[in-house]
Amino acid sequence: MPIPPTVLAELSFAKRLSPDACAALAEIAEMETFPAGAVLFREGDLPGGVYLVLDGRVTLTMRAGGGESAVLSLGTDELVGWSSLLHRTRVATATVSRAAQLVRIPASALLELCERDPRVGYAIMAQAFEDVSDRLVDTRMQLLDLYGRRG
Amino acid sequence: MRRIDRSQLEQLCHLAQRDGRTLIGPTVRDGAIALAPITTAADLPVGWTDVQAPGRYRLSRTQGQRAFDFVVGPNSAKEQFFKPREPLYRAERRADGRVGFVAIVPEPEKRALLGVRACDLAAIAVQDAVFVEGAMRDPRYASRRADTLVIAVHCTRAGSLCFCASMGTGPKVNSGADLALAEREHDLLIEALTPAGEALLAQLSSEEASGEDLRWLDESVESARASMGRHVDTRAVHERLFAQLEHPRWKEVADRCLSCGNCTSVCPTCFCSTTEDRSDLDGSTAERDRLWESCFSREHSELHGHAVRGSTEQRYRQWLTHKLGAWVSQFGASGCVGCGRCIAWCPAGIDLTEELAALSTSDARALMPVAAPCAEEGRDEAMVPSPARVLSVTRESSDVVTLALAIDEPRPFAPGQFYQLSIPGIGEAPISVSGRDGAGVEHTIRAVGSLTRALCELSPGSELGVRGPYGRGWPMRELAGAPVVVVAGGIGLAPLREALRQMLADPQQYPDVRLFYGARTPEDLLYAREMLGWTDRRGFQLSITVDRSSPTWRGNVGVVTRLLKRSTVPDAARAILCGPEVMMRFTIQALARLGVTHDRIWLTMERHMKCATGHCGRCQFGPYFVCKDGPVFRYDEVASLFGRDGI
Ligand SMILES: Cc1cc2nc3c(=O)[nH]c(=O)nc-3n(C[C@H](O)[C@H](O)[C@H](O)COP(=O)(O)OP(=O)(O)OC[C@H]3O[C@@H](n4cnc5c(N)ncnc54)[C@H](O)[C@@H]3O)c2cc1C
Ligand code: SF4
Ligand code: FES
Repeated sequence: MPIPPTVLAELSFAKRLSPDACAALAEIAEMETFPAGAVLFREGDLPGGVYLVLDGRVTLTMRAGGGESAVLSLGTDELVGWSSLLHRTRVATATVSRAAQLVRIPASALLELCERDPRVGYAIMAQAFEDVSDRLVDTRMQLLDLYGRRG
Repeated sequence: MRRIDRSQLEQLCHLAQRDGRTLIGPTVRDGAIALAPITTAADLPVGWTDVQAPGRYRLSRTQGQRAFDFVVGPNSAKEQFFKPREPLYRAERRADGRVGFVAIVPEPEKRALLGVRACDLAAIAVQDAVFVEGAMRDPRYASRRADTLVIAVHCTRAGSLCFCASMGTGPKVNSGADLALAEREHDLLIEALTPAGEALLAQLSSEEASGEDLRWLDESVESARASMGRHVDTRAVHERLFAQLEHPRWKEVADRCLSCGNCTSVCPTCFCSTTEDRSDLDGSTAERDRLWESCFSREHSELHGHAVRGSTEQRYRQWLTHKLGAWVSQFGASGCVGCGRCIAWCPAGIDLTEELAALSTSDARALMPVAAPCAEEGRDEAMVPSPARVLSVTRESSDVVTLALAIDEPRPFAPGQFYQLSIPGIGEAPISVSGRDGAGVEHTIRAVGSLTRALCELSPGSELGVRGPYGRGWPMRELAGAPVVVVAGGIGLAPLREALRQMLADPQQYPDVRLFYGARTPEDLLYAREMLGWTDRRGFQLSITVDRSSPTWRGNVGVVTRLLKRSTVPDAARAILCGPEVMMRFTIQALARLGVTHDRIWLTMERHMKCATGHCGRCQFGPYFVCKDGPVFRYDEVASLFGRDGI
């Protein structure tokens, strides 16, 4: 299902984009709904789509010690699958944990858009960088195992 | 002003001991002049003087016959009233088989202090402010102090380490004594400052002092004042010191300091203490003692397995910023009286006046927070638990239980306050109120050490000791009428639960309550069933997240600040937080981005605690005692110090 540029413009991912750039982004994007349990991609998969959450929840899990561990969940307005912007294979498995409406943008088309107009490219990369940096800080806090000691 | 012959000293000692008073005066003991019980003038250090320098103190013979030809020895009047070690209470089986707690409070004692200097009188006044004039009175100190006759001595010669003139405490005695003496080779001038002093003076054979006598006194005191080689600039010293928390000098002094704590034990105002539990072998009785302690020890600031002030640098900084700075806002006077003891008795010869001067190169001033209003009104606090019985035990997770306790003669509590829970012979710990269950008071406890583990193993009917409630709780009144954001991490939900229950029970006052709660794993979530019951209340929103989980968990995974980032917060919202300090720090940043200003955020601070009454100094946090000024603070009260290392 196509996504109206106005809906896209509401998202943080588009907050640095001009209306024209936003329309260009909407052209390559697709709105999709997923039931709980749907797997968007698996750890180790080849690069594919980048997702933005409109509604619902996506949980990232990683394989560890023979089991699977949930490491982060993402909700409204958050970015899922950023590693595809770097042509990397998937670092985690993304599963819809609460029925979700997502924006799906094929990574190849998105990168093409970035390269065509470096200003748009910069805006998109800067936003992705902001998200990834927030997540890095959060991950560090998780690593501190705050509540494990007492809190 | 009268004049007495030297021979009248004997009569003075005699009169001071009437009505069963113990006379405490200077006497030579173990190579120093000590304040100790004496009976006659012959016990006074006649013909002795003290020679002092940084790191040095020794006695020397004089040719004269003066009894007060010295300044101050290592022990001050402090140990007369605040004992280096004393029992607080005894726990024992009562006749009905239940555990009882018997306060050990000394009978009121009558004392006379002889030979006390102006600086030490100021120190007694400082300790009075700590132990009897604050929100809670220590009955042990009070009973020793209640009936004290003080015969002070004007300093007509200053010691080489004295700087009382800078501190405004000496060398002349102006108040705090019943009688003041000034000694010359053959006679003494004596002045009564109170009716009790007058009555005593009337029984000595004395003459009116002459104009020349008075001139001699003025000139001698003035020359003592002028001869002091040390000087402290006390102007705004509180603000100036707190502006220098990162000064390189702290590191330099720490390289010399041995962290031995001598300075704090000879200081006439230092009041920090710890407690020790003892029990006899068959466990039938147990006693708790209070002992002097030093902020230079590691144990003093221990919290969650590490010391808040882990380095000597941080400990020296704590000592100096408290003594000369924070003390002023806590007690209305400096904690330093200028006696110079800490300089003489420091094995490294560290001179606080020199350190202070080195730290005062800049005139920068920190904006010090206004003192938080104390939660308590004046009352006696003997630190003796009341017997309590476990009504029920609810297991919340693998290492957390909730106990409902029936307390003998309970006092009303407010959400956010805490109790001191104890098991005789094991120990005592501060534990927040987590709710009310009928007649019982609920506590949610995580097993982390010896006492909390023992508490978690109690079963219905078990007995324990409980004292409290203590501290300032959540600002329920300020929260009324505004949207309230509640952020909890881990066991931090416990101190918030009763506040949440009260808000949910009164939607009129609290129409919009949002709880953001983070725990380690889904299995560690507290009160899960109760929280589910809350979700259908109108105006309540619940967001939960965990740090890690198995893939079967369909809820949020990630830190609690991520939940906040995803939300919007209504205008004028207020926030209350409890959790690990790091979590609260990031939460405050996230709230700021959502427009919640510092004066609309309240949080609970945690520090090591022993007394909970503002008497042991353990829970110092800048200008506050967490136990009585907190544990709940409005964030702008603590913002300048919150999250800084070693505070
Ligand atoms: C105001 C306040 C409210 C608290 N509320 C709760 C609560 O509701 N539930 C809960 O489970 N815990 C609470 N705590 C923490 C609790 O007091 C400590 O976990 C407890 O003192 C540990 O005692 P222990 O003998 O079991 O452990 P220990 O064997 O003594 O030590 C375990 C760890 O706890 C630290 N600790 C020891 N004694 C104290 C102390 N008196 N104050 C602070 N830390 C200490 C030690 O540094 C050590 O790292 C609160 C603390 C404060 C200051
Ligand atoms: S300042 Fe001196 S007396 Fe005080 S702890 Fe350091 S070395 Fe010991
Ligand atoms: S002063 Fe003793 S615990 Fe606060």
